[in-house]
Amino acid sequence: MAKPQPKSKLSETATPLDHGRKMAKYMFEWSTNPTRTLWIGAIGAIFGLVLAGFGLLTAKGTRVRTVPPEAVAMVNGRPVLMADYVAQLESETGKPLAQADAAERKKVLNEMVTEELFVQRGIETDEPSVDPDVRNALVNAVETLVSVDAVTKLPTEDELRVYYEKNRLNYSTLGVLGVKDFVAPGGSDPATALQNAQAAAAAIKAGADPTIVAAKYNLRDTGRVIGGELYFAAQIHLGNALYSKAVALKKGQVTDAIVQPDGPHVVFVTENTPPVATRFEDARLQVLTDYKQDLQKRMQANENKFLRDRADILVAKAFQ
Amino acid sequence: MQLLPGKSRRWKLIAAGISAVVLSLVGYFSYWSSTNAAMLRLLPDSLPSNPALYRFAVAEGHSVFNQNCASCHGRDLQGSQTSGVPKLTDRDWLYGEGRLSEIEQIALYGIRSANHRTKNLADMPAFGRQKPYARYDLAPLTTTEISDIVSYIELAQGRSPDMAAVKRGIDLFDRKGQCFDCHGNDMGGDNYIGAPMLSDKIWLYGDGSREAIARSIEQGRMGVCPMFKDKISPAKIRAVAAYVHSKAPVPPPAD
Repeated sequence: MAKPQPKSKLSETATPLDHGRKMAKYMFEWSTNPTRTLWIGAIGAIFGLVLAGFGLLTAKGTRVRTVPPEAVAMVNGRPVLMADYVAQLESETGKPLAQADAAERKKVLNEMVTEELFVQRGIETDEPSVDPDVRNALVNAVETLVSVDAVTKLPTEDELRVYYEKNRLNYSTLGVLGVKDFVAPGGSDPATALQNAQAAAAAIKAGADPTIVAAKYNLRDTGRVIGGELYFAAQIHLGNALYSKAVALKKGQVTDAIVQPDGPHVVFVTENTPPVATRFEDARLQVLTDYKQDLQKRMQANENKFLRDRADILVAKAFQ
Repeated sequence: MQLLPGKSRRWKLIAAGISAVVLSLVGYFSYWSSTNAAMLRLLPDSLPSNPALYRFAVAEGHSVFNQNCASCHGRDLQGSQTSGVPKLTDRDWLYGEGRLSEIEQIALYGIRSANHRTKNLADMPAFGRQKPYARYDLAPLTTTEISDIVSYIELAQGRSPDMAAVKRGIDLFDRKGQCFDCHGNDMGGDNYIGAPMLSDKIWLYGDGSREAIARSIEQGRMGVCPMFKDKISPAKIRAVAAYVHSKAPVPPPAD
């Protein structure tokens, strides 16, 4: 037996227009009930007032009567974070919060409240415009803020390789130079000193032992370079004139006599390892660091441009 | 009261369903925000002793970690010896002892992040450069001197280096290089300033080979971690600290 269909208020032959008329009639009757209208209006007004009050009283800068869960105190609406309080207490007392007594806790909290008050006062008195340290701190803070994404972003291996190829000259080992630097003290007879130095250089070139030759011609080892030194260090110790001659030679070679204020020098090269291009695999860490630093600089430059574009900067004619 | 004359049961069901969904969402949001607040009200180091809140924080922290920290530390928290990013699943803490409050501090203020509360007391000088250290004057080291210091470190590692080089290395470690100042006379490191222990087998950079150690001495090291204080909410920072804390084996007690 067929199941009876539920009875509809509208006949099965009713059109969508009939449905619409019925609905409109009902809505009209419902909304014109005066008691109901008053109640709905009252509820709406109360809800609106509560919403507005909540928004007003919890907006930034307005007074609040509660301390948010992440804070230990509020100072003119600014929170003193619990994490900061714990760290400062540990730093000052040298013990965890649980071991600190009430006096220590109170002392640290008072100090932090005072700090917050002073910071707020500093902003009121516009310290950033007069104190160079405050200005530097603000500049550093903004630079860090705009480049934080560069620090956290890890480039792909392909991006690093492209960067490495573009800047290949930056990635090489450090050159190492080892020399024995002999001087023939000029004293009162510079001509003889120069002759001795030239003779010593010739003897070493001919294959004689440099130490024996130096002793024979009264040359003294200056000891300016001990063992192998990185190129820049050897340059500092030898001076430009001697370094530029020595670095061009190979191990076992010797310079001619080079006249210097303290007498003629002869430089014998014991080691010379020029810089060698570093493979990507070995230079990867340096490449990553450089990549990030470049990205940070670009982000800071973009921020600078953005700020300049929206700023109203007037420069006096004489300084344009 | 019949809201709509002629309204079918289907419409009533839909209305009831929507109401249920809305109520569920409101209920979940209330639970979520009140649990977050309860988590934040606790002192950081007390959180692990409250299992329900700790579980909640660890679960929340997992996604925060993946969004903000995994790009460097890896989703498995294994770090990278190539990039000098520390592993977070062992007990070898570069800074502090692995307490939740210490991890939270690093998440808040980072390492060498320019904020005055950040960890930034020392760097590893680059002894292969003309001016090895920006903070105070140190003389550069020659490659031979660097090699001697490496020999001394190898001895502390239990290897068998050339003892003449070790003798020279000890002197350089204590005097010219001033390595003892951060790494300690016993090479035990200093977890207050982030100076790693040199006598264990855990290496932050490289594999502990002579070449890798020499590279660190020559080029210097200065790892960074960004600060997240103004980037993510205090609740998320507490949660991510709890997540990292939960991954380290048996952290020391809070006191």
